[in-house]
Amino acid sequence: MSEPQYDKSIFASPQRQHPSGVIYYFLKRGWALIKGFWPALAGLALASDVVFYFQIILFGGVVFLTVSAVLDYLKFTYSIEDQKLVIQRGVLERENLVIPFDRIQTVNLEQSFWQRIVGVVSLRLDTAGADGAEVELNALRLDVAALLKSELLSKPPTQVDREMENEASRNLLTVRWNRLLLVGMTQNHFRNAVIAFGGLLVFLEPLIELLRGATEGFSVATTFAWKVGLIFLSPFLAMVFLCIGVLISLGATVLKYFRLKLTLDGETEDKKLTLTGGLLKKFEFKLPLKKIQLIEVKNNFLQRGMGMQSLRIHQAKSRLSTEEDKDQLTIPGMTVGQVNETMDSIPGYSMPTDARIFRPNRYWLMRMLVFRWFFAMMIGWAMGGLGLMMGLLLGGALTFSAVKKYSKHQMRFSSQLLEVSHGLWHQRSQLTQFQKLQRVEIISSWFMQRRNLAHILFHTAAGPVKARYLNAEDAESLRNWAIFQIECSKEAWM
Amino acid sequence: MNSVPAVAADEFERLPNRYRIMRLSYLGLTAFVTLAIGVWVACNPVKSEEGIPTIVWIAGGVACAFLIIWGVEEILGFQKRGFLLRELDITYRSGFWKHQETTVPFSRIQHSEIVQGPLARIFGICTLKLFTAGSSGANLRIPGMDKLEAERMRKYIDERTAIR
Repeated sequence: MSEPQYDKSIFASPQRQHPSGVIYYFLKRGWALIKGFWPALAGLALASDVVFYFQIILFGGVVFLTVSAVLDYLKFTYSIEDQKLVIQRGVLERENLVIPFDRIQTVNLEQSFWQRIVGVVSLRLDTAGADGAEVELNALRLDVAALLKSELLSKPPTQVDREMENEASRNLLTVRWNRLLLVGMTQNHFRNAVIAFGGLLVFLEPLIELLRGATEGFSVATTFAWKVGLIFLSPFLAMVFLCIGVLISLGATVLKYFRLKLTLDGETEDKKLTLTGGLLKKFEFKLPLKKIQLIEVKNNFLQRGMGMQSLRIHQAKSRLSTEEDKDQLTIPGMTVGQVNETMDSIPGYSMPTDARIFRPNRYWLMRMLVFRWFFAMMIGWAMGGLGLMMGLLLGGALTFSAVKKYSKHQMRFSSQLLEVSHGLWHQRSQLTQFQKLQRVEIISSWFMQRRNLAHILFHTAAGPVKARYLNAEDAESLRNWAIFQIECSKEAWM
Repeated sequence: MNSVPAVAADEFERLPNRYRIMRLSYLGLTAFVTLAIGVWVACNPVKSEEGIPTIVWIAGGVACAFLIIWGVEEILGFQKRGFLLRELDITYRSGFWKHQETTVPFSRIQHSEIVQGPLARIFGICTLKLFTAGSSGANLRIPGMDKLEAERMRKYIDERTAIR
């Protein structure tokens, strides 16, 4: 490497990103412009007599984008002062962002396709909770990014020793590509099929025009035969869309989770889970064990059939982020054994065997049955005649699903942990520690109050965990216990 | 499990009566406006000889049902409102049709806020909002607090949040 090696002293003075940041800002602004004005753009592109203006607009747009990208790049600087990251940014509206290191939740490095070509990475910080700001540095040389990251995650001197850390690293899990194919197969294809169908609809109009042009010379009989053929073809067409849906899921899954690897490293006091993977866009997600707020095990019925589960480990939601992926570490396609093994290696999250179990009250089942049968009978009555049979069948199916749903909902808890599992098709079980809770809520409707029942909601920083239709006394003593645990815990929740 | 300190239902503090009057005046105002509209519509039977159309009757019925449900909430629900301040946490409960009891330990509060609307200013009443991590919006809203008391309570909470 002929490039100069950096040391951390460079961060003392304000630094700019790698010049390729200009490309990033250009693309970002360009995309935002296109997204904001695409209906107008599409209209312009179609109207042939404005091609001249279109060119002017395009030229103006490119100039504007270039100037603003260069300015954005020049005005963005970062530096480190006294255990704080200081970021200056903004052209018209100057922004001065100061982030103390101890407020930083995670530091992630990511490399998208264009960044790989230029040889830069982006570094993303998530900060906690209330006034959570989220910061992204989009074009950093790999070595600078790595250096900055280690600086950001460094505690005041004394603690971390890098050599030690690497030795203690332990590979928990690697997801192979054949497993990934299974994961892709068991995704929700319906959604992708609908997207594919929507894509077709966009092209439908020109297609029909084309067909009309082609069929003009045909006789009535031929046209009729074509129509009949089309009707017979429609199931096949549906199959084609489903296949496209499956292919999209497969592709997306493999791209996203390629070479997924979970490791546990760090010293006893300060262990981290690291998840790496991705094909076009590589990611590295580090999550210190201390910052885990909620662990979720999920599967749908297809995945259950193949003995697969996905594990989600949540950290506190940052207030501004809308993308789910930033706040959680998702590992799909695990076997039950792998899930158990991983859970066992995360200290403080194994449920003891003598955990107490709470089940929802029977009233819930009765209530579901009443509502569902009422619904089924209304349908049957509305259809009349044979509809009554339909109603009975529907009622039967709904009864079955209600009983299942009722029997799948349960809550387990020990002195430190609580777990709620529920779901019929999509099963889900959520596990958290009492001391991670932010607040506890007891909710009961007027009907429930009369039967002395209540729901209880345990709010974590990563979302709520809800146990339904408990006896009011149980809910109250659970609440008291949870609050007691929170107030007794000496450890910080994050 | 039952040996831990309980959030005792009979120790809750009621909200000031001024707040009740304020809420009732909201209800009264809405009822009055609804009634006025109803009477106006009934007196101008949409230019037809057949009297008042069915749709108006239905709308009136829905409005009345809504007002009755709201009225019950206000009249019977008010004594269910209240808060309980303990050494390390605060609990607020409210609601007749949907009863909610939320407990927030002081150590989990990120920041707090006191808000006062124009009508509330006349009644000397304010809303105390407490924010915890992880979700948007206030996580605990205690409306109808006496302004001075809210400030006192906020100070009390801040002192305890700072200790950790």
